[in-house]
Amino acid sequence: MFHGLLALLTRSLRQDARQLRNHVFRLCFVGFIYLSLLFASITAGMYGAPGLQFFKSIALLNEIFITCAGIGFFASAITEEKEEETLGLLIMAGLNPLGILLGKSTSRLIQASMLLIVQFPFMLLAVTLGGVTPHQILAAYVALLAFMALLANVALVFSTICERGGSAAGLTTLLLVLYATTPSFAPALTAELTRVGFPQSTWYGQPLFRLLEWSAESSVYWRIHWRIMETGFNEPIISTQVVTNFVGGLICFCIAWLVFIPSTGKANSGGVSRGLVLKSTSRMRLFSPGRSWAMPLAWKDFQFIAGGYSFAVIKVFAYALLLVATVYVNYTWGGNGLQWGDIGKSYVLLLLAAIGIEACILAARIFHDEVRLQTLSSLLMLPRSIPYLAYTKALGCLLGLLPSIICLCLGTLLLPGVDVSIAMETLIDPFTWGIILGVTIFLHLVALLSLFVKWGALPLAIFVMAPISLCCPVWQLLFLVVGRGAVRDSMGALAATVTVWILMSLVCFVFQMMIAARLQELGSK
Amino acid sequence: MSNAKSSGTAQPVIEVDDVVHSFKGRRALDHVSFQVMPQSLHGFVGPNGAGKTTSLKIICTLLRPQFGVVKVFGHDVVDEQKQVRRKIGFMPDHFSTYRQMTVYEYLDFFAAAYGLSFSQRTRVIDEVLALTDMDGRKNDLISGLSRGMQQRTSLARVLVNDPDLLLLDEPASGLDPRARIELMEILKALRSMGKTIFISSHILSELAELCDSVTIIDRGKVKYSGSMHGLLLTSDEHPAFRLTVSGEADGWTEHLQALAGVLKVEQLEGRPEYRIEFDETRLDTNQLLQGIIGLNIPISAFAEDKRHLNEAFMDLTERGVR
Repeated sequence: MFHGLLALLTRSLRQDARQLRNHVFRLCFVGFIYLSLLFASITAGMYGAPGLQFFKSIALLNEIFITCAGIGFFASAITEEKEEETLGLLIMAGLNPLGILLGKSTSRLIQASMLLIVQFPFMLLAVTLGGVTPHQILAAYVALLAFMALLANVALVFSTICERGGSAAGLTTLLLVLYATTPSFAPALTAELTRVGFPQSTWYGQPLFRLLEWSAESSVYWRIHWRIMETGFNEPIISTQVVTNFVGGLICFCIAWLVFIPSTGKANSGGVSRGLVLKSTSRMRLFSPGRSWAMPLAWKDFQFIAGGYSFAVIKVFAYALLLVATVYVNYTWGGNGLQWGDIGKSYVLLLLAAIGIEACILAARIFHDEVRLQTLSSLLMLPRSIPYLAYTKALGCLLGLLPSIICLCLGTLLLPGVDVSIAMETLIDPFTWGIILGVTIFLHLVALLSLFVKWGALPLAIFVMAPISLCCPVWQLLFLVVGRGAVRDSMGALAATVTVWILMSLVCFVFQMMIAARLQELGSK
Repeated sequence: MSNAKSSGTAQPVIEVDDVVHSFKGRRALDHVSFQVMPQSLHGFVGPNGAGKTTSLKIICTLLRPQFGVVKVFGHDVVDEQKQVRRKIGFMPDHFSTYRQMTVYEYLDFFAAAYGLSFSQRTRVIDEVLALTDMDGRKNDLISGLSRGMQQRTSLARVLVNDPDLLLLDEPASGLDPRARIELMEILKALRSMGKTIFISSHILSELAELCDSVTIIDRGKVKYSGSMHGLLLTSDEHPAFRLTVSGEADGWTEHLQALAGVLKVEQLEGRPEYRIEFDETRLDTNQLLQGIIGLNIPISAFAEDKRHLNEAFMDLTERGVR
C-alpha cells in the first residue's frame, strides 16, 4: 500500500539528491548568507546591532524566497503534469491522488525546507555578532517553516483546480496579497465593526472577532518584523501564526485531496485555454477576435495573451470599481470627509501597481507561450526578422495594457486634487526614470528567464532581482548619482536623466540581443 | 491554389552540397550532398538520429550549416533567408499550432503574417480549407480536433502562402491508417498542382508508392540519393525480371537458361517463381517475354524484379543503436 503512496515522493527526493543544480543553488544560498555575514562584520562599527541587521536581511531574503517558491515552484506541482498531459499516465500507473499529491507537492516542500534548515547553523553566528538571541532565530525559522507549509498547500489547491500553471500562480499571488495585507485591515475592520455597534458578545459576534484577531496575527511578515525582531522578544516559539499556518496548510492539503478527482477528471485541454476570448460564432461576436490585423502578431498577442476585447472591457469596469472602493475607503476611514488629493494619489498608486503586475505577467507569457505550444519554429519560418516578430508581439501586449494606462491617465488628469503640474514634474524627474529603468530591466529579465525555465520565470526573476536590489551597491550608487544630479540644478537633473536613458538603452539592448539569440536557438531545436 | 510556376530549365529546387553539422562534438551531418528536382516528390529516409531533421532545419533556414552550401531555388539559405522563406512551407514533426485558436483564426493569422491582403486571405483560406477537406471544421477550436485533423490544419497553414516547395517532417507519424491515406491523397493532389514536396518519413511502403526520388541517410551520411526506381532495382549491372508460373514449377530452369541472352535463372525457394537476369545488349524485354511464351510456360505473372523499399533501406543502413 505504502509503495504506491510513496513511490513518487521517493523518486522526487532521489532526483533532487542527484541533480547537481539543486546542490549548487543551495550552495549559492549559503554563499549569499556568508557574504551577508561578511558585510555585517565589516560594517559592525556602523550599526548598533550587526547580528540583528544580518538576521533581518536573511529573514527578508527567506521571505522573498518562500513567496517566490509559492508562486512558481509550488503552484506548478500538479499543473505541470496537466500541461504535459502526463497526469493521466500517473493515475494509470496506479498512483492514487494522495500519492500524487505527496509526491508532487510534499517533495517540493521538503526540498524548500532543506534550504531553510541548511541555513540555521550559519544563522547562529548572528548571535556572536550581537543584537539577537538564539530564541529569536529559532522562532523566526519556525515561523518561516509554518508559512512555507501554508503557502505550499494553498498553491497545491490552486494547482489541482487550475488547468494552467499561470492561473494557479495568479490565484496563489492573489491569496498571498490578502494574507500579507490582512494584519493591516483586520484591526481597522474590528475597529469599524465596534464603531458601528456590531454585537461582540453574541454567538456569531464572538467567533467573528476572534477570527479577525487570528487573521491579524497569522501573517509571517507581521510576526517576524513586528514581534520577533523586537528587542527583548520572549514569546513562545509556537505562536498563533505558527499554529494557524500549519493548520491552514493541513486543511488546504485535505481540500486538494478532496478536489483532486473532480478537478482532474475533466477533459484535458493540455493546459491550453482561450480564456475570455469568445468565438466569432458566439452570440456576442463583438468580443470575438475577428479577423487578423495587418500586424498579425500584435493581433494574436493582444487577443490570446493579453485577453482581448472582453478582458479589456472587464478591466475598465474593474478599475472603475477600484475607484469607487478607493473613494469609499477614504470616506469611511479618512476622518475628514472626502480628500480628493489622497483619493487621487491612492488610485494612481494602485493603478501603477496593477499595471506593473499585468506587465510582469505579460512578459512572462509573451515568448514562453510560443515555446510551450511549440510554435516558435513556425514563427521563425515567416519571412520576417526576429526583432520584427518580438516587437510586434510586444506591441500586442502593450495594447492589452492600454485600458489600464487610459484609466491611469484619466485618474491623474480628471480627479480633483491631483496636480497635473506635479504629474508632469514627476515624468521628467530622474528618480522616476530610475524606477522605470528598474522595471524595464525586470521585465526584460522575466522575458529572458521564461525562455530558459519551464515555469516560474516571474518568481525566479523576483528572486534574482531582490538580492541585487537589496545588496548591489551599483543600484544604490546609481540612485545616489541621480539624486545628486536632481537636487543640484535643472541641468544636473537633465544630465542625470540622460545618464539613466543611456543606461536603460544599453541594458535593454543587451537583454534584447540575448532574447533574440535564445529565440533563434529554441526555434532551431 | 495556383499551380507552381514551371521552371524553364531543370535546375534543382534544393541543392545540398557537402554539408557538415555537429552538435556538441557529435557529427549529425557528415559531408551530406544531394539534390531535389522541381515538381518531384522526394522522400528523405533514415533511421532515428540519422540527421533527417537537422537537414530539414538547415534547408528551411532554421539552422545554419557549419560547413557546406545549401541552396533553395538558387538562393543561399544563410545569405538569402527571406527569399527562401517566401518560397517554402515547413511542417515540423510536431503540430506547431495555436491550440486556443479556431482553425480559421489560425490560418488567417498565418496568411496575414505572410503579408496577404484581407481579400486574398479570404480566398486563399477557402482554397486551402477545401483542399485539406477542413471547411466543415473551420470554426472549431484546434485543441478539440483529432490528431489527423490537427495535422491537416498544420498542412493547411503551410499552404497559405502558396509555397513552391513543401518540407514535411514526419507528416504521417501518429496518424491512424485512414488519416494517413487521406494525407497521402492530399500530397498527391499537391504534386499534381506542380509543387515540389520533400518528405521525411519512416513509413516506407507509402513513400515507395508516392515518391519519384529518394535520399537515404544514415549516421549523418548519404547512403543513396536518386530515383526511387533505381533504388528498388535489385541489380546494378543487368536488368532482372520475375516470372510466376501457374501449376507445377519444376523443370523450367534449364529451358529458361537456354534462351539466348539470359544470364542467370534462379527459382525462388518454395514458390513457383523464377528470377531471370539477362543481358540488355543482346535482348530486350519484349524478346525475352516472347522467348518465354515460346517455351509454352503457363505464365501467371511477369514483372520487373524490384525489391521492397524496406529491403533497400535495411541493406543501406547499419544496425545498432544511434
